[in-house]
Order: sequence, then C-alpha cells, then structure tokens
Amino acid sequence: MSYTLSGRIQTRLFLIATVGVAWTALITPFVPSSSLSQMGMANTIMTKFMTTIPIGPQQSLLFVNYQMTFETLGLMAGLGIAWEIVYHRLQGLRWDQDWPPLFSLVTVVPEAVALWYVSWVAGVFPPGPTGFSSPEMEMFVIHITTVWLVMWLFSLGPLRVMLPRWRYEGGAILVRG
Amino acid sequence: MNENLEAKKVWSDEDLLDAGIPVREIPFATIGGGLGSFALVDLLRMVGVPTSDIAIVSVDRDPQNSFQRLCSASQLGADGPLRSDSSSRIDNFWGFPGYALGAAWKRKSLGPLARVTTEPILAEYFTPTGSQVFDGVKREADRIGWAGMIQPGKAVAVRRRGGGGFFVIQETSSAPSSPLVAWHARYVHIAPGYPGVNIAPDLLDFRAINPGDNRTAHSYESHEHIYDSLAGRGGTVLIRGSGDTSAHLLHRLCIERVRSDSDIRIVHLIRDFVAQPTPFPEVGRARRPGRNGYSLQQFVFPRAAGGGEIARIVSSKEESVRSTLMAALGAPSKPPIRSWEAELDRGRREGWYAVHHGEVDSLEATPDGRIRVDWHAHDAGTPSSDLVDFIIDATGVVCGIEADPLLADMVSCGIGSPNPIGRLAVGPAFDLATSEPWDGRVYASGAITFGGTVIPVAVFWGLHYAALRICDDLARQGFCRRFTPWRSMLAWAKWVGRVRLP
Ligand SMILES: Cc1cc2nc3c(=O)[nH]c(=O)nc-3n(C[C@H](O)[C@H](O)[C@H](O)COP(=O)(O)OP(=O)(O)OC[C@H]3O[C@@H](n4cnc5c(N)ncnc54)[C@H](O)[C@@H]3O)c2cc1C
Repeated sequence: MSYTLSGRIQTRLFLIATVGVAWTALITPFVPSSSLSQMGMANTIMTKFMTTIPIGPQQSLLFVNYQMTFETLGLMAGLGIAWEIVYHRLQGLRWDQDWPPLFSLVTVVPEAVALWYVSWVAGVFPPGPTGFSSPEMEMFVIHITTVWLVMWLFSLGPLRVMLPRWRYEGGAILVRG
Repeated sequence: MNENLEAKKVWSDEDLLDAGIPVREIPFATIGGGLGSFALVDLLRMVGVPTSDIAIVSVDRDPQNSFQRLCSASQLGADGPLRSDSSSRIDNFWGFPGYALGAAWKRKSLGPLARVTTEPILAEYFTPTGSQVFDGVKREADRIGWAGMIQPGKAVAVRRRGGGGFFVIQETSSAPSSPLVAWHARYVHIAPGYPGVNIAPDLLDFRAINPGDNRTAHSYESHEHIYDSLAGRGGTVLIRGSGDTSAHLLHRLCIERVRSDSDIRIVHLIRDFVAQPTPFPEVGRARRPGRNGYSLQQFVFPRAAGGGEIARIVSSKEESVRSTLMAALGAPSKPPIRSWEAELDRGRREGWYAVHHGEVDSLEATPDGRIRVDWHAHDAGTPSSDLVDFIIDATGVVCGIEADPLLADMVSCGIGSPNPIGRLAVGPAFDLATSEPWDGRVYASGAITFGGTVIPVAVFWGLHYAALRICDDLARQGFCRRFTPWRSMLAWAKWVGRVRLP
C-alpha cells in the first residue's frame, strides 16, 4: 500500500475505531484475566459472567478487564500517531515509497513492546512486575496480537470494499468527492 | 463524410440528415472498447446504469482483445509475468480478492498468498499472468452484459451538437467507404489506447529501401519467424531499447538459446544507458536502482506514484518541473527479476550477449544476406559496426494527439486541448475542456491523458482511478448514482456471487 502521512494516520485511527473496538469488545471476556487467576477462580465464561455482577462499590472484574483492554487500545491509537510519523520517514527511504504488507504486520513487535511499558507508566495495569512474570502479560499479548492481526487482515481486503477510494488516495478515509 | 460536413465544427441534426447519416440516441457512449472503456463501463454498470444507456464503439469485440494482442506480440504471452501487482485487478474494482488469491485457489496452494503478503521483502513481487487477466476480463464482461452494449466499427469523428450533447460518427463496417452512423450522446468517453508503435527512423529507411524484408521487426509486430530461424540456424540479433519489452525479448532469446542449443548471439544497443542508481532529490532520498543499462523498477512508475507520497509530492510541483519529473520517473525500466539478471550475466560471461551505450546511425543490407549496423558509442562517439541477421526494435509506442486522426480532429473542432507533451489535457474528473461551455461532457482515459497531475494513467491502476473520477462526475451531473460505500459493498457481494447484472 502507498500511504501518505495523513492517509496512514487516518487509516490507523479508522481501523482502531472500527474493527479494533469491535474485536476488543468481543475478545476481552475470553482473554486470560490476571485478576481472576489471582483469585484462584476457574477462568470460564460462567465465572466471568458471575463476576460481572457488581459487588457493592467494587467494580466487576470483567469491567476492570474491559477498562484495561480499551485503555491499551486507546494508547495504541495515540502512540500510533507518533509511530506513523516514524514509518513515514522510513518509507521515504524506499525507492517505491510504499509500505509492503509485511511491514504493516511486523511493526506490531516494536509497537507492542513500547505499548506495554507506556501502559504501565500510564497506570493501565495494577502495580506489579513489568517483566514476563507480570500477571497482565498474557492478556496484553493475546489482545494486542489478535487485534493487530484482525486490523491487518481487514486492511488487506474488506476495507477496500467498504471504502473503494481508500487505496487510490494514499490511505485517506476522508476523501472529497 | 462529405466536405461540407467535415468543415463545420458544430453539427445540427439537419446537417446529419442532409448528409444521409442516421442518428441514434444514447445517453452515454465510450469509444475504444479496450480495458479503459471496460474499467468505466464496469463501474457504471455496478452503480446501476442499464445496458440500454451505454454504447461501446469499438473495432474489437471483447475488451481484452487489444491488450491480448499487445501482450502476445511483446513476448509477454499468456504466461509471462505482467507488470502489475496482485491488487491491480482490472476485472475487480476493489483489488480484493486479488490475482494472488485467485491463483492460490486455482492451484490449491498457499504459495501465491505467502508471496503476496511477504512481497517484495522476503519474496519477489507476485505478478499476474496475461491469461489471468484475459480470463478475468472475459468473465466480468460477460457478467455485465458487454456483448449487448458493443457497437462494432471505428469511430471517425466526435463533434459538438448544436443544442447540446455530442455526435460520435462511426463506420459500421471495415470496408473502405463504409456506411456511417451517428450517435447522439450527452456524455462521451474516449479510451483509444496506443495509436501506433514507435519505429526508429533508420529502421523506416531500411524498410523503405528493402520492401518485404522481414528480418526487422518492432517488438509489437508479430515476429515469431525470427525466433524460429534463430533456433534453427543460430545467428545474431540486434535488440534496441531498455524498457520491459526489451527485457522480455532478451528473456525469450535466452530461452530459445537453451532450448535449441543454437548459437544465438545478441547485440543490445541502449540509448539511455543506466549504469548506476539514479538520484531523485525532488522526491526523496532513495535512488532508483540501475545496472548494466537498465533502470530497475518493479512497476512502470514507483509505486507511490499512484495515490501515494510520490503522487503528492509531484502534484505539488509547478507544471514544467512536474512534467520533467513524471517523464523521469516513468523512463524505460524493467522489473528486477533475479533469474533474468542471471541469464544476462551468463551471456556476458560467455560472450554471446553484449550491451552497449549507443545509437544506430544507419542500417544496410549486405550482399551476403546480413544487415550491417553502423552505430556510435554514446560517451566517446566512436563509430562501430556489427553484422547481424535480425533486428528487433523495442523502443516503445507512440502516443499523442497528432498520432491519432480522431483525436486531432476532435481538438481542432473545439473538444479538448493538448497538454505540454502533446497529449490530452484533462481536468480532475478526466474531463476535456470544450472551447465554449457546452451541455454534456467528454472524458478520456488511458495513455492519451498522460502529462497531467495523475501519474500512472496508462496502467490498470490509472484506468480504474479515471473510471472512479468519471463515475463520480457523472453522478454529480445526475447521469448515474454515486459509488458509495454501501453500493460498493453490494456490488462486491454480487461480484463474488457472480450475479449477472440486470
Ligand atoms: C505490452 C503491454 C503490457 C502491459 N502490461 C501491463 C500490466 O502488466 N499492467 C498494467 O497495469 N498495465 C499494463 N499495460 C498498460 C495498459 O494497461 C494496457 O495497455 C491497456 O490495454 C490499456 O487500456 P486502453 O483502454 O487504454 O487501451 P486498449 O486496451 O488498447 O484499448 C483501446 C481500444 O480502442 C480501440 N480503438 C482505438 N481507436 C479507435 C477508434 N477510432 N474507433 C474504435 N475503436 C478504437 C482499439 O482497437 C482498442 O481495442 C501494458 C501495455 C502493453 C502495451
């Protein structure tokens, strides 16, 4: 795909706001939840369903999980703008000045690492270790990799069908007719 | 057409009545009926324009005919790698599913998909073959009812009609003084492709002196006999040009060499010899790779020339800078295919392939049945000569208003005007300006519109882009509905389900 800078940013925000949000809403109840395992509860839909019932002023665990996944997704969008500027610079070093699909896929690696630490600093996750032993790690990895994959696949096909002008306009979502 | 009529720039219904040319009404006519017409008609059909509102004026029956002829003559054939990517799919507006998915399905293999998702980093680009394109176009043409819209015969004139709209004058047979018919259309589209091949003056001289001599060919003229003879008896062939067609010719010769085990020798003359990567500081820091005479570029233009960053940069430049830049970006080049490079490297090593930076001065038939090529090296100007058995000229196609009588006539009668490089100047909707405001519109697409703000106009990408722009403009004028996201999704579902359009 040949993106302009504005097209990249629009594409990212659009993908996150549509498939990103939808996928996160769908998958959050199914990702391994640290808080639940800490409580020694079986990680089943049933227990999750039960824990959606708020107990007093305490928020439900599913709600907490949703808060965590959506906050990371929001950060992915925000930090993404900076990443897109970096990618745009790198793209300029290529003769074709395009962005092959493989690049769109593998950039999840640096982005996820940065996102993990920024999420910690921003207080998305409860205090605790930030390394591999962190109880939130599994949830984060599954959420981010799947949401990325879904967005990537969406951009390779369905997006072109939904927005037929997108690929002709450097990835711009808002195209004047 | 009688002289009286020809002299008038604007025609009335009576003028045609007097000239005995019957007039038929049609809201929209497209002249050409090749892939450019196909891209637009496909889109118009998808937004709901009925076949009865469209006339396709063409000398060819099927939209792929002309492209197929060009492919076979230029050695691309049905199986050669085209210079397109998977998603430049002329029979599918969205590029999804792309040609790679089609190939994966057909071969029951994940290979094409792995390639298209890792190109060009871990694998070379996935490129469709001619037959994939021909088959797809045939199927889609059938789905949209092409046969019901085609009006066979050559268009000989487009004139403004007094009272609004335009007349398209068409010959109804290929006989010399064929009966004419006039289409009265409010909207006219023209996509005539390439009017002719570019034959070097020295080659024209040679042909004039040696009429009937079939030892020289332009790459787009059929020249199988040359390969047959070389494979049978060996010999030396001169190749000229440094575009992808010349690369295909060389590849074909290498294949013949291995297959027949004959002593085939190749002398290759390149006028614009590229020995090293070319910098383009106006568009970015990267240099275009180049070696052994060729610029190496996967597509006719760098990819971002189609809607991407390069398109943005170039369109922001003023006209004179822009046209030089566009010409340089689209200068002859060939795709970097490793196996082709290896073949030629071997030829150089073994001494049967020699490439020079030079230009032909003259050609002469020798008494012993060969052709003497006098040429001079570009840098030193030193004259050299070679004896060859055949010459294949791959110096491209001509395209311009002057090369096509129909376009020249249109422009002289106030429809369209030349751009700085002698092709048609088009507006943002690929519309042609008329000498005075007129009711109705004429649009153009394809190579004839090169030189404006859109860069890759002559390739599938550009034909689609033009179709989209024209369709949007026609929707604004009230001719058809707009291609909205909803209609796009609906049309896509029908495409996938192979639903025939009513
Ligand atoms: C060898 C070759 C390979 C190419 N490979 C690729 C590729 O891989 N990828 C890519 O994107 N592009 C490629 N192109 C470029 C381009 O996509 C094709 O040339 C394409 O066919 C252009 O479409 P068109 O409609 O402009 O012209 P055409 O498809 O040639 O159609 C023009 C039609 O108009 C008819 N016509 C002309 N004048 C008149 C008249 N007065 N009255 C009636 N009919 C008329 C012609 O007979 C012809 O049928 C290639 C071009 C060539 C030459």
